[in-house]
Amino acid sequence: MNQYTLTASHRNVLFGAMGLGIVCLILTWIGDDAYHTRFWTNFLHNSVFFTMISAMAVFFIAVCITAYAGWHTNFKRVWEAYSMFLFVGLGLLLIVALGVYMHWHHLYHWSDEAGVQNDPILKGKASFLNKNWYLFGTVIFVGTWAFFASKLRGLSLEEDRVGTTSFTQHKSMRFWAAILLPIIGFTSAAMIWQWVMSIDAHWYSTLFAWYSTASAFVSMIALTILMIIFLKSNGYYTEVNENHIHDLGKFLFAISVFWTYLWFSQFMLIWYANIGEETIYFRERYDNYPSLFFGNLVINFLVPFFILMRNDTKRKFGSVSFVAIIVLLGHWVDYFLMIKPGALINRNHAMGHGHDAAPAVGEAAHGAEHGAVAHTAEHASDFVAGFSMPGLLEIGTFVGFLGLFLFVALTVLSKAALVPKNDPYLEESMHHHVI
Amino acid sequence: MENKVNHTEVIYGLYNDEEDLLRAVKSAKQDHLEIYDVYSPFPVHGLDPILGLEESRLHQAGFIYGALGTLTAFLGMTWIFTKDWPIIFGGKPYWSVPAFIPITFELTVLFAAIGMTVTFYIVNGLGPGVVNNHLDDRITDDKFCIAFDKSQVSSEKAQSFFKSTGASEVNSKTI
Amino acid sequence: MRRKIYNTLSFGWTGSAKHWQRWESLSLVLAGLSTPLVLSVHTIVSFDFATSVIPGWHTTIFPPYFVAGAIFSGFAMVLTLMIITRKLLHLEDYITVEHIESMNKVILLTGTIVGVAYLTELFIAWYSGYVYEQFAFFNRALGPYWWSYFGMMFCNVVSPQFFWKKSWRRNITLTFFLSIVVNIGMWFERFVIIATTLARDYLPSSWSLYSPSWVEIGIYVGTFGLFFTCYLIFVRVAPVVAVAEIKSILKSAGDQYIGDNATQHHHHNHDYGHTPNEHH
Repeated sequence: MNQYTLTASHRNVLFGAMGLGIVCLILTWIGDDAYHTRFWTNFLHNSVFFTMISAMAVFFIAVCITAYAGWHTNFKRVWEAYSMFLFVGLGLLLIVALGVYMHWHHLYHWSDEAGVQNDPILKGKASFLNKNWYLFGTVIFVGTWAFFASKLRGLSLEEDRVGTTSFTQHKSMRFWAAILLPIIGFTSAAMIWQWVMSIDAHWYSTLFAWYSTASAFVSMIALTILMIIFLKSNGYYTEVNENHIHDLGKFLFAISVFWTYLWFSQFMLIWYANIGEETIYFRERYDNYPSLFFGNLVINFLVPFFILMRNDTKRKFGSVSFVAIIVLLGHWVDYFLMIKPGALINRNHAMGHGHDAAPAVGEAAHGAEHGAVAHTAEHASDFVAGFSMPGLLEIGTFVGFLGLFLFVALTVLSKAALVPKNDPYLEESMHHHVI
Repeated sequence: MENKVNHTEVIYGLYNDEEDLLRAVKSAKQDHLEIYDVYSPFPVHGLDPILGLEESRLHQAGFIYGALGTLTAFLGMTWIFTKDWPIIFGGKPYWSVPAFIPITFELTVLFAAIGMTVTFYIVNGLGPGVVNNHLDDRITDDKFCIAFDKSQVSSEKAQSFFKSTGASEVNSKTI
Repeated sequence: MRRKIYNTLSFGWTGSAKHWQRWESLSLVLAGLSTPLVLSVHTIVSFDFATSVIPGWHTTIFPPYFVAGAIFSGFAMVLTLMIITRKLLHLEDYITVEHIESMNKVILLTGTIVGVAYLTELFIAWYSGYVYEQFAFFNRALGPYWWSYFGMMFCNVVSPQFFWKKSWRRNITLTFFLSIVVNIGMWFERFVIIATTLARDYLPSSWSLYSPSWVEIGIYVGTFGLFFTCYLIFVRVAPVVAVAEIKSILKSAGDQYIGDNATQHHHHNHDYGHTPNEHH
C-alpha cells in the first residue's frame, strides 16, 4: 500500500480532537482573567510548540539531503508532511502577532508602550522587542521556512512524476537544502527570542535558542516514531522496519541527552555566577513550579536515557513508542515552563500596578518595593489554575492542536505516494541494516 | 576458545578470502566438525552467529563499571564537601549538586572505559609483552584460518575438509 | 628494536574470532562513551571562560559553542597534518579527495555554527541592556585589539564560506591553506576572549594592555614543538592508517570493488552480515 488514505473514522477522531481543543479554548476564554492570559498562553504555547516541530522536520530533511543520508528515504514523506504544517503555524502565530498590535493580550511586557518608556531595560531593547519586528519576523521568517518546505516538497513530488537517473530534482534539492540550513539556524533563533524568551523580558540567555530548538527537535523525532508505528499498524510502510526505528531511537536518545546537556549548561552557568538578574528565572521556577521543574528533567532525561540505552529497546516498537510519548509530553511541559511563569508575572504586574515604574532590576527588587505581603500574594504558593500545573483545559487544548497538526500532516501524506519512488537513496533505505 | 599453553595439537588451514572462510565455517558447522578456533586479520561480519558465539558480556561489565564511577564520584564528593573539608565556595551551599555533575559524568566515563578495556585485556589473555601462541604470522596480514584440535577431529577428516572448502594451505602445529 | 616495541605493544593479539567479537563490543562502547566525552571535555574547557561574572566571560552559549569550535579546529588541524602526511607517505589511495571534501563540509558547517554563536553573543550583549557587557563587545570590535577580533571573524566565519563551492572543497592546496587559516582564527578567538576582554573590564583605572614577553612566546613555540614531536614520533613508529579496519571495509567501500573503477566484484551473499533473527 503505497498510498495513504485518511479514513473517515480517523478523520472523525481528529475532528473530535480539534473540537475538544476549540471547546477548551472557549472555556478557557470564559473563565479567564481580564487579559485572557490563560487563553493566550495556551494558544502561544501550542502554536510555538507545533510550529517549531514542523520547522525541525524541514530542517532535518535538509540535514539528511546535505549529508547524503539515505536511511530515512522510505519514510521521508512523513517529514515532508510535518513540514507543511508551517503554513498553518504561520497563521496561528500571525494571530498572536496581531494580538500584540491590537492589544488583545498582554503576554509581553514590552508590548505595552507606556510601560516601556518607564523601564530603562525594556526601552533599551525596544528596537528589537516591538510589535513591528514581531510581526515582520513571524510573517517573513516563518513564511521563508514554509517556502523552503514547499520547495523541497514540490521537488520531491516532481521527482516522483518525472524523476530520471540524471537526478535533476535531487541535485536541486541539495541546493535548496544547503541554503536552508544557515537560514533556519539564524532565523529560528531570532524568532524564539521574540516568541518565547521575551516573555521574561528582563532576562536573557545566549543558549536559549539552541536549548529550545533541541527540545523541539526531540519532540519531532518522537512524533515521527509514533506516526510510523501508527501507519505500520494500519498496514502501511511495510518496508520501514526495526532498523529505521532503531536509528530514530538513537536520535531520540542522543538528542535527549544533548537537550539535557544544554539544560544543564544553561542552569549551571547561571547558578554558578549567581547574578540576580539571571538567577531570577530559575528561582521563579524552582520555587513556584518545583514538580514541573524537576519533572521536566526526569521525563526528558532519565526516561529516555535509561530505557533507550540498550540496543534492543530501540528496536522494539513498544518501548520506543512508550519513550516517544513520554518525551513528547515532557517537552510540551518544557515549553510550558518556558512560557507560563513569565506570562503569569506579566499579568500580575499588569493587573496589580497598572503601569507603575518598573525597576530596572529583576522581580526580587520589585517585590521588595511592594512589601513582602503583596509580593507573596503575587507569587504565592497559591495554586493558579492553568499556570502552576497544566490543567485539564491545557491538556484539552494540547489535544486539539495535536489533532490539527496530525490532520494537516495526514492530509498532506495522503496527497502523494508514501514512498518517493525515484529518490536515488531509496534502495539504500530499503536495505537499511543496523546491527 | 582460549589459547593458553596446554600443548594442543592443531591442524589448520589458511584461506585467502573471508567469503571462503565464511563458507568453510558454515560447512564445518553443517558437518558437525568441532572448530578449535577461527582467526582473521580483521573482524569478519556474520562470522559470530555462524560460529554460535554468545554475545559478549562486556557491555554489561561496562555499565556496571560506569555506575560504579557515578557512585564513587557523587558519594565521594558529597563526603569531601560536606564532612571531610567543607568550604564555602562562592556563597554556595556545601552540598552543591550542580557543581558535582561534571565530575560525576567524567568519572562515569573514566571507570567505564578503563574498566572495560582492562577487562577486555584480561579476558582475552592479552597484555604488554604477552606472547600468545599464534599459528601463522600471515593471519594478521591477509590470511584467514580455521583450526581444528587433532584430538577432536582426525587429520584425514580435516585434510579432506580443507581440500573441499578451498583452503590454500594446510599445516599442523602444537600450541 | 622496532620488533621489540611492536611485540610489546601488540599485547599478544592472535586474531581469534571471540577476541574480535569482544573487540567490536568494546569499540562500540568506547565510541559511545567518547562522543559525550568530547562534548563534556570542551564543555568543561568552556566553563573556564564562562563560569565567571565579568562581561564577556559569562554567556550560557559557551559550552556548545566551544564544542562546535573544537570540532571546527580539530578538523582543520587534522587536515593540516593529514594533507602533508598523505603526500609524504603516499596514502592518496586511502585518504582520498572525497575524504577531504567531506571534512571541508564539516568545517563549513561548524564554522557557521561558531559564527552563529558569535553573532548571538553580540546580539544578546546588546539585548541584555547591561552596560558592561555591551562595552565588552564594543571593546572587542573597536578597542585596541580590534585586529584580533577581525582576525577571528575573518578566519573562523568568513574563510570557511569558501567551501560552499565544490571545486574549492576539492582543491587540496586551498584546503591546506584554509585549514591553517582556521587554526589561526581559533588562536585569535582565545586571544579575544582572554587578552582583549581582560584588558578592559569594570574599572578604567585597572585597564592595561597586554603584550607578550619572551617567556610566553617561548612557551608558545614550545607547545608547537611538543605537539609536533609527539605526532612525528607516532608517524615514525606506528601505523598511520588503521590497517585492520581498512581491510574490513575493503569490499564494501574500496575503489577496487565499488564504483566506476571497480575491477573486482564480490558476490553479495545475502546471508552475509545478518544476525539470525534478521529477516529481509
